Amino acid sequence: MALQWEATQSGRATSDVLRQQDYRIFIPQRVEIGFRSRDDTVKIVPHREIGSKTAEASSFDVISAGPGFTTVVEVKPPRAHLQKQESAAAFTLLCKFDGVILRRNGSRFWARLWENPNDPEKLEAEFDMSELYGSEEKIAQEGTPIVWTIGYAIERGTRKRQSILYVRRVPPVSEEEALTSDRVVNEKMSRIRWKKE
Amino acid sequence: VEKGVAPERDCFEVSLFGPGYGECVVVHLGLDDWIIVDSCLEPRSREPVALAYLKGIGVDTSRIALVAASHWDDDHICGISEVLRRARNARFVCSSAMASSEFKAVLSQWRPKSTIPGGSGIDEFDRVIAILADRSADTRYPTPQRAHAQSVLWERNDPPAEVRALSPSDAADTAAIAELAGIRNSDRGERRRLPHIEGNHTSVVMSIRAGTASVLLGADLQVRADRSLGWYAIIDRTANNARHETYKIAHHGSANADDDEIWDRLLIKNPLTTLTPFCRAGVLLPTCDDSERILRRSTRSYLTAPAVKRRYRARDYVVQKTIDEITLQSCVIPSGFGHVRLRKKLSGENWEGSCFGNALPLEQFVRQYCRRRKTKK
Repeated sequence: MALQWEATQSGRATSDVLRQQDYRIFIPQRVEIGFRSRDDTVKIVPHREIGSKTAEASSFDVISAGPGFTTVVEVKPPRAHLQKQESAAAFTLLCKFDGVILRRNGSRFWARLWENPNDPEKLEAEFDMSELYGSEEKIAQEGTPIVWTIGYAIERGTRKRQSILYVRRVPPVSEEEALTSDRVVNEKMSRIRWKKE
Repeated sequence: VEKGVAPERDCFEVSLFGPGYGECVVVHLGLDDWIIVDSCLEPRSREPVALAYLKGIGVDTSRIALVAASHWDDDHICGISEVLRRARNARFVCSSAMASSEFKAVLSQWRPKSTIPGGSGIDEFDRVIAILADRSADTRYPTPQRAHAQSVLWERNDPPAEVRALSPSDAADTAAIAELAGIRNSDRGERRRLPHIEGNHTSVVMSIRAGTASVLLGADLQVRADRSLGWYAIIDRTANNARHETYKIAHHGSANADDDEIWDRLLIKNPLTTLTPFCRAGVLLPTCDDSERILRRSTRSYLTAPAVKRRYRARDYVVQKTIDEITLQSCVIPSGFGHVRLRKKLSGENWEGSCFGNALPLEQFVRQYCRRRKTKK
């Protein structure tokens, strides 16, 4: 694949910036992929991340080197057209999953998701915590209900795919509910006559 | 569920159902006496598989003598309240920790959370409690029983048959109650599903004997370093001659539920074994290593469905594309559904094993899936 990106062309990234290994830059570029040309996002990543699968990693990594060029570039595939978690003037819903977090493992979590609770088959998926809308990381724990909507955001006549994954906000159990539940459970459990040993 | 033909009156039958996440065991003890251990749903009809199976072979639910919940994991109790409601002559059995004040507190705390989509995770037990409470005033219903090590759950004199609990031990009960207290204390009132109870201390392992047939149902009991807990507590309290011919392998064949002493002390040499897969949150059991380890001990082993990840297929191409891009990995649950049936005459010698649906011999699973994975690597 013939793909090169010249760091100095944009005037926003310099070789000094590139030397900062922890720095990431996302710059919209027009890139050539084979015979096609399209607006895409070019991401500069530190060398050590090459080959590692991260939440933001593209499906292919391209390495190019030469005087005045970046040493590493990564082209994000069609996700350039995918908006995440941004408000839009209009939204066309394609699919809405309800779900629950099954397991949290550091910066990742597994969730079970369903469009209809009676669906015979359910989706189980692992997400990076950064996919969660806003700063909901703290409240996301095992058993937390979540919602995932996928659709088109329409803004100024332009349709873009949009994915929003968020924690379902439900009010905590009220004191009255807790007292009622306590009374009901106590009443039921006390009525059960267990077989004597 | 495969309808098949009902077993004859002098036939002992163990049917194991597993949809990839969940399991259910239906046992015919001869003379049209049936017991059901755990419950899961038939994926298409959403009916408890035990009821679907018995209906399919023409057995009336009044013939169910015992309904047992081996422990309170989601994958073992789906639909058990419906099974109990329909089995009007059945005694209900669960671990003694489930009748403790700690469990009552957990139930009380999580019950109001059923309003969240997918339920609170404790709804099934809430329904069971309601049925047991309603039946308590009516003497026609058998009284429920708390299972603990060496308690007899059901017996028949002629021909002799017995269902005996081998666990939990007293120490396991204490450990389970401590775990329940931990869950209760971690609750901050937010609405969410009950977290998974990790220890499986409450697992009720059952020994079932009828005529010359015997089966050990391993539930999800694990091996613990402390010999007063887990499998070692059973092994230390079991007489040397009490071996079983068949074994429902514990905890989906995982290494943490396996020990040489189980095979040497509780089972005959090269027993007939069955197991269900577990596919949840990226965990697949049994693994290829687990399967090969089991096959070294039991050449006749059956799995209700292969433990493999199946790709989720969205109805819409754009949705599928977004799922693929956003998720790090994804799969569909359940991955398959199958039924393993073992039969033997009460006075006979030979077992007959049959597989229905996605069920397959464990050896075939290793050949088809594990070797292919190794080749890919």
